[in-house]
Amino acid sequence: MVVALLSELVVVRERLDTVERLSAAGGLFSREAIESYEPDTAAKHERSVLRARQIDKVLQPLRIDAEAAVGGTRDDDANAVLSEEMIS
Amino acid sequence: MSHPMMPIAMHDERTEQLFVRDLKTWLSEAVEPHQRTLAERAGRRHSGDYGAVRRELMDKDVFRSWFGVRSAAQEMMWDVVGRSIDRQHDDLTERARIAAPLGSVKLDPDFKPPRYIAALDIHMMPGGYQHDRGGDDIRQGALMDRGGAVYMLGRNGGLMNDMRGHTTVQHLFERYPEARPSQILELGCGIGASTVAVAGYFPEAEVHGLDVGGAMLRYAHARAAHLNTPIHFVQGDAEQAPFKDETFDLVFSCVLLHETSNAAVRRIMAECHRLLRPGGVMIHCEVPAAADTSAVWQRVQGDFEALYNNEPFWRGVQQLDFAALATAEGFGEVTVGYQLATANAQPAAHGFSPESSGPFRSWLMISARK
Repeated sequence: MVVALLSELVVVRERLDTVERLSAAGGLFSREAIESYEPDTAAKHERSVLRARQIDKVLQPLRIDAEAAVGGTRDDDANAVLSEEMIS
Repeated sequence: MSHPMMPIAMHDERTEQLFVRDLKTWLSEAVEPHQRTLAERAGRRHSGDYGAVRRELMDKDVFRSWFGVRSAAQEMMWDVVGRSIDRQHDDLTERARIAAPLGSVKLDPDFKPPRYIAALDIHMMPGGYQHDRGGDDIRQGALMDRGGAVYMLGRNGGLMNDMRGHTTVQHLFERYPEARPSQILELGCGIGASTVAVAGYFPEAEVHGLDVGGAMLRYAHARAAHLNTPIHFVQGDAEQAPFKDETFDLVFSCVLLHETSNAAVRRIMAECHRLLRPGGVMIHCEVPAAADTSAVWQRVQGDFEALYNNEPFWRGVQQLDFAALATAEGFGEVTVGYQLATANAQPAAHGFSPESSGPFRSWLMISARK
């Protein structure tokens, strides 16, 4: 799982590297422009929202397992309904 | 707001640091409440037998993985900040070289830090407070400065890391309004973030900062000098500070006591009394005390801090009776309570209360007069 994710990441980073090199060669923007880029307030907010969504999406097993351990989730209700229906 | 010594994060480094910050926030907001419910249920089941609660929780994959990821996030934080600092190490060293810096730094090549500092790396920060390669080494200070801003999730004054300093002065203004300190000492000053903040309110005063780390203090000196604040930094032990009796009229510390030990807190209180002139004021700004140290959730958090974040005294310090300790060392007008955090102290009431307003919104203040 981690190896597959790493493979995807390597592909994305290499593609980004290509974009940066082609951009610099074509006079569009340089690597220095990326390093010194300062996101404005709206961009900072959008990036924060995106990071939070990525974290929650990838690490959701941690959250879901914790919710399940506490119980009272919809899954529990669903399982209860299923078992009742199967018994009846 | 930042300052000239602050390590600079390049594009990816900044994203890595924001990622760690957001990961820590997610863990505490999305996962921690469920862990708390589990812990409190176990507490009711075992009716106060915390050993049994701990065994039950540690048997659960879901609980161990939460501890594990929290711990990994902390290690990742130091790793990403450390690598960013190593990239710019030469630049930082160059920036720390100032032709005629304000203030001074006095190091003791024979200094040995106390065991509670030397035995483990507090907060998992590699090298702890004391690591020093000698020469013009400032790396440990840079690591603590940038890492601290990420660790505090920006809640201690962002890249200035100085809200505790301002809040300590607010406490002085409110509880000791007639105080006009001319000789000031901070114990355990680290990178001098609070020292500089406090010095800003008393431009006529001579201000000293004491800490265990040589690289930390060199960095602190450069940081203060770049902020045009003359501070005299000295390497030493807060239990035996290298100053004469009755030198100061304000001795303070910011989040120092909980990094020491039971015996050390008593000795530091006694040392504050020795260092202060009659009428002088002692202020210790600390992490909030637990409302109920026997409560299961406090014990769980204490376990995490002690075992996974190298904070062995985390729980012990919360059980101390600070008022009794200060009184026993001869102090009067002893005050223990919570000062609302501020980034700009004013000579007027801002908010002092026996009740905590929550971490980072208020700080525990232990203060007294000699």
